[in-house]
Amino acid sequence: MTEPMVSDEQELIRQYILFGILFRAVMADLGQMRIVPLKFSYQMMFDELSRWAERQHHQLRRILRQRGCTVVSSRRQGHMYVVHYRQRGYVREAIYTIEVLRAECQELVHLWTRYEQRGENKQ
Amino acid sequence: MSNANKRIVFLIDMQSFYASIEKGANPELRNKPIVVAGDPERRSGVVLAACPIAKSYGVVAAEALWQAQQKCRQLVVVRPRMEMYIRISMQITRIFEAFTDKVEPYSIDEQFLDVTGSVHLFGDPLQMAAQIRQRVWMETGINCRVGIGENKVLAKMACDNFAKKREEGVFWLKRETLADTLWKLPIEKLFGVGSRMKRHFHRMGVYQIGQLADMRPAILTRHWGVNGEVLWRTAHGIDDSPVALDSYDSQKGIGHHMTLPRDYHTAAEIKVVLLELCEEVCRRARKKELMGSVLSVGCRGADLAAGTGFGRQMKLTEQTNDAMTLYEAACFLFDRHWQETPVRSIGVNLGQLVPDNVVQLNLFTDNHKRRSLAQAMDDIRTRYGQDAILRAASVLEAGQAKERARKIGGHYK
Repeated sequence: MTEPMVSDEQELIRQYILFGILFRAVMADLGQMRIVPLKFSYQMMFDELSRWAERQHHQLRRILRQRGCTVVSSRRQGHMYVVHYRQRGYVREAIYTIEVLRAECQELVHLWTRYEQRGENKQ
Repeated sequence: MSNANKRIVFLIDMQSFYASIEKGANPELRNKPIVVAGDPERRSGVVLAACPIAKSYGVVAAEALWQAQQKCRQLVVVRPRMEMYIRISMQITRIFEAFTDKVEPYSIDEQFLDVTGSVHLFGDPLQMAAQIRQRVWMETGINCRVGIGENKVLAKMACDNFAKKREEGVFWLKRETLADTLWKLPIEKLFGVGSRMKRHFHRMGVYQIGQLADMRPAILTRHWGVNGEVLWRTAHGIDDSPVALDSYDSQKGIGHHMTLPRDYHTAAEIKVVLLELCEEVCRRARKKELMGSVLSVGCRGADLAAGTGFGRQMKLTEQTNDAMTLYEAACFLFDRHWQETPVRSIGVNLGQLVPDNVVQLNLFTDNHKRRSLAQAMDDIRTRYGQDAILRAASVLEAGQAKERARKIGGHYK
């Protein structure tokens, strides 16, 4: 059984949301870490990851805008993350599962680590 | 019937629902064979859902966990999280409501949609089905399959017999083509035919759905009464039932059933569970502001063997939703019909429900005091959890209330 075909815009919206959550979550984690006394400072690493996610987030926003797609609102509703976006004049809704978003963000962190090891993020 | 009057009904089924949710929430499990299963230490190790990779090893739902582990050595066992599954099922309902206002949940992982009025907004039914599959996949990580028909029965059979086996995950079962599609399938593939009914049909020389469709309905009615006619109508794809939003609003009974972690041998042990069940049934009845006047008690014997145990009912002297009144009646039924054989599962049901705002006054019992006590206990449970207040009997070794408080429908929250 094959998985359903997904339109480019839907996938771009999802990626945009994921990077948006990631860069904010990393900064929030950094804030938490500052409270705890540690032997070393990990701020640079966290800053780098957050900046990478933010750059990706803005890049995706540009691509979406070029395709006539803008996110109107995004907010957490209980255990769901509800996004409203305007696509070619129509306002559409996407309702994401929080657990899945968290897992996908974790995957992006792994992706960033792999890029870092290969030095690809320096470009 | 002209095409213009035909309805378009979807039955959407989630593939390996529980297992897909677990894989979506934990990427490390994505390429591994996983099953969602109960707790093996409490002998509740039954496979609730298996992912497609596990199924490729021959693991099937509802089999014992140890059997599944023998078929697949690398099997990863995940404990169920029922609260999350219910939540995601409701989230999927909300996604469906963006396509039509007529959505009827059929089970936790299957829902009917009547899209007759909105299909023109999304193209044709096949395009609409593809869009629904895309959204569910993107937003929850679950792959779903869509059966399409002009009524609920056709949509259900389209999904179970065809859509699930197709690459594209969508199938439209039309009444005009039943002879080439549904009627060629074996009789057990007909909705409503189980293993016992299959044996009956085989004895009658009926092996294919087409043979059943060719029979006169009167013959089937003679054998199975109204159910026989329903089967004939199902084989012809006839079903007038609407996709109703309030299918489950009218309730005929409130029941609770419990499979015990081991065989219970003594009446004292079994009655502890009986009391807990009565308590739970009455709590739900009070929550819905209902009382019942018919009590049913059912027991099944050791290792759930068929033919053991009993199922009996009795009319109560007056309607009630008081746990102790129900318990006394349940004990009466139990003492009368239990043959001192080991019991592995037990259930209590309260039927003939009426609103609880009319009470028969009684000179000899203080019903008002009982109602106030029950109300206070309900309030404590609502506020602090199911096991915040228990009867002393539940603390005994036989008691299950504390363990059940951690579960939904017998599975971990």
